[in-house]
Amino acid sequence: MGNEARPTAQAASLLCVLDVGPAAASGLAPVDLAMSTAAALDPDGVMEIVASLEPQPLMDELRAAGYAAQALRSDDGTWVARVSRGRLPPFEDLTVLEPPLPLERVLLACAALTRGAVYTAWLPRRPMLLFAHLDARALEWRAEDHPDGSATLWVRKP
Amino acid sequence: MSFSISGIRAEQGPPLSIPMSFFLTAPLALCAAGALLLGRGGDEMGSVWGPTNVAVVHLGVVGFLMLVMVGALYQMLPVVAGAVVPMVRLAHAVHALLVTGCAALVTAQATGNAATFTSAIVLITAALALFVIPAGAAVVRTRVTGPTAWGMRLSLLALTIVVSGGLWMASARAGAAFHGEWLTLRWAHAHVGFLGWIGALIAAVSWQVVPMFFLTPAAPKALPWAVLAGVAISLLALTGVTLAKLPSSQVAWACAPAALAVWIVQPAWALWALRGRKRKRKDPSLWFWWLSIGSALLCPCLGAAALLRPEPALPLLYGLCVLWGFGAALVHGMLTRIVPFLVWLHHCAPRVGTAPVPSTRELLPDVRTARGFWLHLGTALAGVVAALLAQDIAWRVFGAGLLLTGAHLEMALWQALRAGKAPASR
Repeated sequence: MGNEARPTAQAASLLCVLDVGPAAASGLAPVDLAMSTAAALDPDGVMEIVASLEPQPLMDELRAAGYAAQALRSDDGTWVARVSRGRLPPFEDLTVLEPPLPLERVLLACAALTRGAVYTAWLPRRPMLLFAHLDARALEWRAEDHPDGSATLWVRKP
Repeated sequence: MSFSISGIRAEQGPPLSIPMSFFLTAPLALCAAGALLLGRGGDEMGSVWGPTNVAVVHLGVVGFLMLVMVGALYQMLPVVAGAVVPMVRLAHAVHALLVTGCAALVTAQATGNAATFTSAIVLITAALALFVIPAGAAVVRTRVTGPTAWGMRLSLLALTIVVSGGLWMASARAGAAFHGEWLTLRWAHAHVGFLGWIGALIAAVSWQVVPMFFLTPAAPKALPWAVLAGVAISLLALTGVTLAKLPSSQVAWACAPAALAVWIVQPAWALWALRGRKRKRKDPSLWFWWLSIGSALLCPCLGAAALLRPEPALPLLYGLCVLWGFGAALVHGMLTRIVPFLVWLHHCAPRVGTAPVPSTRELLPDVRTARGFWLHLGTALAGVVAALLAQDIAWRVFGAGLLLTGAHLEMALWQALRAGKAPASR
């Protein structure tokens, strides 16, 4: 089921949000950090790299290492690169929907999930009120916050 | 980490019946205020301290605003501040005590009956204790340290102070000896309520619900702390002025930091944030925000004018602007967003994917919200006319406006609740 705790070894392997800004400021090489985090990903897991500039070199490195990667730009100009070991799972950007539309869209998508399928969504904020509904549907889920207050949700039907 | 209490997940908030019992009762207080004005007319409305005026005001602040705000706190404390209120089922007792306490208080104020004041004291003290002790324990224990959590702590403190001041006055009216400065206590009581309880809670909730419901940028980091600091300084100053029995003229100085924070800084941010919202669609619930923001910006001007000028209409206009324009407009508007949202969450979300469910706009259509806004605005204008003309018929028209606005809101909330339980038509 869901896990509300900050990333643990297991949680990070399913969903991880990596903000490269603070990492770079503290002297860590973003590429090294992204590579080591990606290496711990579950086959269904997703890593999101948050950056102020388009992380093209980082994505090139990850793709060269065999990962699937896709970048998108948020309304405030921040870049988010989505990375997975295999094919990237279906993803919806729900950040511009007023509540409760994001919740409804997530629940509708979850209702259509087949066994073992994964769905991810980017929500305007941590969907606290959604978690009980995901648990009630016996879905496995993770949620991670972004630095701007938005959040990514990862859901799998066991 | 998520956890369960009696089968209710903490972050999910309380059962729907808890906030809804408060929300569904509150508009009835507006109806009662309107009926009181229609029945008694405007003879005692010329002064802010006239018995009918005091009774109408307390139906508004205790019966409407306080009921909604207490219900909203039960809902929001776990979700927003991560503070799980222990023994949450006590909320039903708090609701019953507040409703009966408000009825007793207003009856006592309108009639001057000492025994009824005593009943009101007992009922409201019990309600305050049963609400503030568990809710206070929850917000003190929570590990969430953001400004919203601090705003809720501050508003609970202000609620305790404002009710204590009210009970002090009520006990004097019930026959107990009074050793304070009556006029200072009256004005301090009113302003702790206006700025500390209503103002701080509206601000704290706004930092969450404005970005959430209207997809706006979050408040700049320093702004909430500056607002809270202004309110905290005024709470201390107002308490000090009252306990030191200083002249009532000192109340205005004590109010200044909170008035600047709550009626200028906070609305200026809300205005800026709402103008920058991501989805600029027609939304009648937003009109209530514009009315509340506009009224908030007017409040310091009217307050200063009431202090400096002798015209009797000015204190009336000031009170009307604070309570009906700033506080009640925002609460009315937020009810039209929060109630359909909660009903959808509790009654419709469990059915998503298995059956068609209505949207929140189908639960409470925009046209209904818009009608509520026009009633609210029309009542505000009727109040302004009544304060300026000081004629019996004008106050009765204002009373009719209160009655219609309350009845319309009551029906709208019931409509949302019924529609949420019914199967969708599509």
